[in-house]
Amino acid sequence: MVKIKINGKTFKAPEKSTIIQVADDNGIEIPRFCYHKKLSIAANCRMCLVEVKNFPKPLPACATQVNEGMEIFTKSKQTKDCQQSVMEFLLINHPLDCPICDQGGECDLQDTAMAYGSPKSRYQEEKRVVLNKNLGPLVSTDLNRCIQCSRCVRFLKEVGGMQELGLIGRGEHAEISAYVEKSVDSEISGNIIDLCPVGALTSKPFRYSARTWEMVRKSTISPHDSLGSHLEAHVKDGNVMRVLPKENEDINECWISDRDRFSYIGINSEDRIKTPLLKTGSNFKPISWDEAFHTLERVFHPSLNKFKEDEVAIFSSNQITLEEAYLLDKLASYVGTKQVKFDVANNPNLIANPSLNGMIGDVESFENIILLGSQLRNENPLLLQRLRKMGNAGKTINIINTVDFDLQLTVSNKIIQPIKDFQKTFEHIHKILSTKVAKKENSTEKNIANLLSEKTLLLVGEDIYTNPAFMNLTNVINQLIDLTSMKIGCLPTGSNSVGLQQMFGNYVNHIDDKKYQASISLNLELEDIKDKSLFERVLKKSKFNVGVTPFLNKNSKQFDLILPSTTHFENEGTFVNLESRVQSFSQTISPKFESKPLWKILRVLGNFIDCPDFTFESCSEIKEKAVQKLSKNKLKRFNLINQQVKHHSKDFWLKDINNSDALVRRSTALQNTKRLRSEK
Amino acid sequence: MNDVIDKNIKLENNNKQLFNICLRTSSLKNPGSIKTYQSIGGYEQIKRILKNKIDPQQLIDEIKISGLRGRGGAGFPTGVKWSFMPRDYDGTKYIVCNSDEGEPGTFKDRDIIRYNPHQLIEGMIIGAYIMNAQVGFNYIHGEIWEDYVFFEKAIEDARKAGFLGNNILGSGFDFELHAVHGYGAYICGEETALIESIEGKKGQPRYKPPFPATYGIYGKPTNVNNTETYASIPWIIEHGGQEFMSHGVPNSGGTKIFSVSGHVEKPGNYEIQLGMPFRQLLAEAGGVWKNRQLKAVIPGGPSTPVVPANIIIDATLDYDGLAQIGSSVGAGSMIVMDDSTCMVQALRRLSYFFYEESCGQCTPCREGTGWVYRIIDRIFKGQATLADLDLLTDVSKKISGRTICALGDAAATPVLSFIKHFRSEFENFIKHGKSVN
Ligand SMILES: Cc1cc2nc3c(=O)[nH]c(=O)nc-3n(C[C@H](O)[C@H](O)[C@H](O)COP(=O)(O)O)c2cc1C
Ligand code: SF4
Ligand code: FES
Repeated sequence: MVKIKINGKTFKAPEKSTIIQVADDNGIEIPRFCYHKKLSIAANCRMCLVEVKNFPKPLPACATQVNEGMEIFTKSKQTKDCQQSVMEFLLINHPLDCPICDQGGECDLQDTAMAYGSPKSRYQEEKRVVLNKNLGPLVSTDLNRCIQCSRCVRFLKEVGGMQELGLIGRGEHAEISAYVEKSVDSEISGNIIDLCPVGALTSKPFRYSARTWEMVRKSTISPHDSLGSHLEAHVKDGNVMRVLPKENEDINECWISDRDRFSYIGINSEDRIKTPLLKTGSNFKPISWDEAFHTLERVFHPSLNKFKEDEVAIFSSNQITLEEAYLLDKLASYVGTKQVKFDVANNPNLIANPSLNGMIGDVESFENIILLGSQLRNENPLLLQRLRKMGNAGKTINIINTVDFDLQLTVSNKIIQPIKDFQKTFEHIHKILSTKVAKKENSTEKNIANLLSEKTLLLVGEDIYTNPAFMNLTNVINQLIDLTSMKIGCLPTGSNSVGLQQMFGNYVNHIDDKKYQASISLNLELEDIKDKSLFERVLKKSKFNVGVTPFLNKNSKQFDLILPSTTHFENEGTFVNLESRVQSFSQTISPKFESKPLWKILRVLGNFIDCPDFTFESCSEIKEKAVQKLSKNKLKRFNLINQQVKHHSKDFWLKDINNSDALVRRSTALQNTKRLRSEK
Repeated sequence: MNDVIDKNIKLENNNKQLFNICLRTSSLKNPGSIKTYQSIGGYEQIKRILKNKIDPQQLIDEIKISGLRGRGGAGFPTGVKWSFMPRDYDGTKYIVCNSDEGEPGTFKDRDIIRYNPHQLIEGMIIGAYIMNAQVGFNYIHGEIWEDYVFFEKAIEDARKAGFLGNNILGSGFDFELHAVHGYGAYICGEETALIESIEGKKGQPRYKPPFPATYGIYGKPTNVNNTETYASIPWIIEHGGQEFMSHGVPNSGGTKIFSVSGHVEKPGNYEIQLGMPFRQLLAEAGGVWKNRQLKAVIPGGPSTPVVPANIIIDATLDYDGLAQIGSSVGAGSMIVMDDSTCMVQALRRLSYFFYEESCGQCTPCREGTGWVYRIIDRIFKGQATLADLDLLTDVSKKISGRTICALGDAAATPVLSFIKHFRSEFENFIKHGKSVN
């Protein structure tokens, strides 16, 4: 710790911290544009210049480290003169078009100019003109407003992993540009909208639709991946106008993925189902909810229709809430079925407790990461961003996978091979470590073997730990854990994968290929399902198919009864994220048309068919019961829970980040982005 | 002001002359060849150093004694700078020769490359030995392609002769030197922008600290010196620091090349013993041309303040001498202006240069240089008011000292010094809408 003085007051500060950090920690205001705590320091805007005793020139607070005895003045004449002059410089070429700028009312430049600038400009010459660039369907540009702070450039390079924007040209002609004819395609590109301190980069879908002060902020949790990012939906007139990150250092930091940011556009898709629909002949006719529940009663009430064991098949998305899962579990046992596929994106369950086993932030405390399988860019771009950070900081990221994905990070060792060869590789690694004689060997396996210690985390992707071939691997990996004390973790992908695993612990996530009396599908479309042909076969053979979904889609025709559920933003509930963190969220807007949250549908269905203990009045009441079923077990070794997996579909399923669920699929903006072509 | 100059005035107590150290091969036949350089004792110093394994500290001490100061503009003592390089760093270290000379009026480094490249190469090898660097670069100005090609050949000759590469002269010392061809941006002469450019990035200065000695090329310790600085080294090692020092004056050791341009009869490079009176150099350059009178001089290049004739005429050309009259040696790019010069027009041209060459990274320089140029342009076009002169001064002061690199200061310097010394001329121009010379 060092002692410094700011404006005459003494403060203690950690060594090597910068003036701006100390000021921020102590609530002392220093204006800034280019500085951002998550990005490298550029020191280019000069807004943060402060007077420091014994220095002839003012120093940039963002780039100057504090020293013992340093005396800083944030309000002195010199400091004020600097602030005022930088402000004036920044504004001479700025269009000052606040009334027609989307950033108006939430603009750093506007706010700072009010606080530190002068109401009058002495500049009377022409202003610079910069042509706008087309960066794709998400980010709109107004580059006349750009103040060249380079935040967007640094973000894409450092956090996004690829320098998709740059400052080209010199001097006054310096301007932000993408590569010739290229758009910005990072899967987390939307963050540059938040980072841009002016209205130069704004949200294309949101443009001109609302002013910041007209919207109500509603918090929710991301339904699109297992990270559980904190989101803030901005609502006007019952519609979500845009979605922004809600800062949470432990989870999403201050970022969100593009899928989190722009999926809301799908809420008002033309595919939304307005009322329950009943199949009559080859057409559907709208019916009331009351009629719909009576229809269900006729199919599922034990007094009207007594099912034998396993005569109902249930398919569910991995995004249904904990509360919904709790009700579903009860209903399934009531109708006597174990044929529940609660995570249609995957093979049957093989191991106990597939979860991160530790907190997201802890990942960064390891020295080495071994990524076994997974398609992180498609599955969990913000977790990937943390690994990228580790790579930039000189830690090692090592990859063993079946496909050579371009993860846009520094990789130390890489083995790409068919999954059947994984066992050989791990056995080789084990042999290198267990035979004491140091063999002269120059191999990637040896490099990886040398990294294994308690500072190493083996992360296993969902593609791998749900693949039957993984059963042959658990043994040798467990031996390696004993030998090296390395840590393990799994990377489930659904927003509630972990919650569902725990809630449905006594099911194996499997459905037999046979004839059923009835089937129920919950919030899913054919594209969400790994084993599509099984799904189609089951529905074809089954006597009565119920589809609960917000949207009409290609496979709707297979249903006999369609019930309109809400999208995530109209729902409330709880997700358990990949680190087993339980996070609840409430509705951001009321349900569209006559749609109902899935939990309410299940709850009423329970009553109609006289399922016992279905008296819950609220979602939180269900939650209370549901969380009791969550297990607290940690993943220390891989324990097989299901040795008899008979059926499995093909090994590998390439996921597309912008085709990951029904809502994302209906976000026109996301659908217009360039699809990830991750395979090299 | 017109009668202050008497070309025949006697220079009392003066013993300073032209003296070639960096340009010492220039009068010989085939001056740039390795043979010529070796014929005057070239490469003997590095041989001696490697053979006797001379302690680098001893060599640094010699350079400190010589009083050699950086010839790239800032005049930082070279011996001190070299001692900043961490000696026991394990990993690659780099040394860089800065031959970017992009400032208007500078053309001395080109002559060193053309006429005495091997002395520069030997200087760099000695520097590499002292600082224990394994790789060197010479970053050569973008618009002198033939000289770049010529220097590549000089490197090749030195390598063939065994002075570059692995295990130089069997000593176990490795040093590889590369020529880098710049692309013609003034900013790439700034040492950290130069480093970025060598790394293959856009030439933009880095914020300092960290300085190159701790975080240079690819984040490794790096030393940057001007061409003339490096080219002085072999001579200093050969003749001793004291001898070099004695060619100059205290605090300004040795010789320095002045690139004299503008309104003189014989523009060109003059390597002088520091401390030479300005009058004498002017006489060497043939005096003011066309028998006109001297009006003003920019002694060290546009980034150094302009000095009116009556002040510079009695000054001596050395670091203290020029500091006393409110200017500086800079890179020795002396621009002489005769009495027909319109100062408004001159300043307009200089300001345009800095406006064009600002890298655009930091606010005061990016926005300020264009603003300054436009105000001067308005004066030049007869569209300004007297208040604009104060605005001009104020804007320049707000650039100066507030930027990432010294280009901001360099841009403000001519404006502030021109207005300081020639305010009435600017006022006249504004009142009459044209030059009243
Ligand atoms: C805008 C700018 C341009 C510069 N151009 C040059 C140059 O062309 N050549 C040079 O040697 N130094 C130049 N310098 C100075 C270098 O940054 C650096 O100080 C110098 O190369 C150090 O060498 P020295 O110690 O031998 O002078 C420039 C500095 C600035 C701020
Ligand atoms: S576009 Fe925005 S974030 Fe990017 S440099 Fe310009 S002002 Fe900064
Ligand atoms: S915030 Fe410090 S220079 Fe921009």
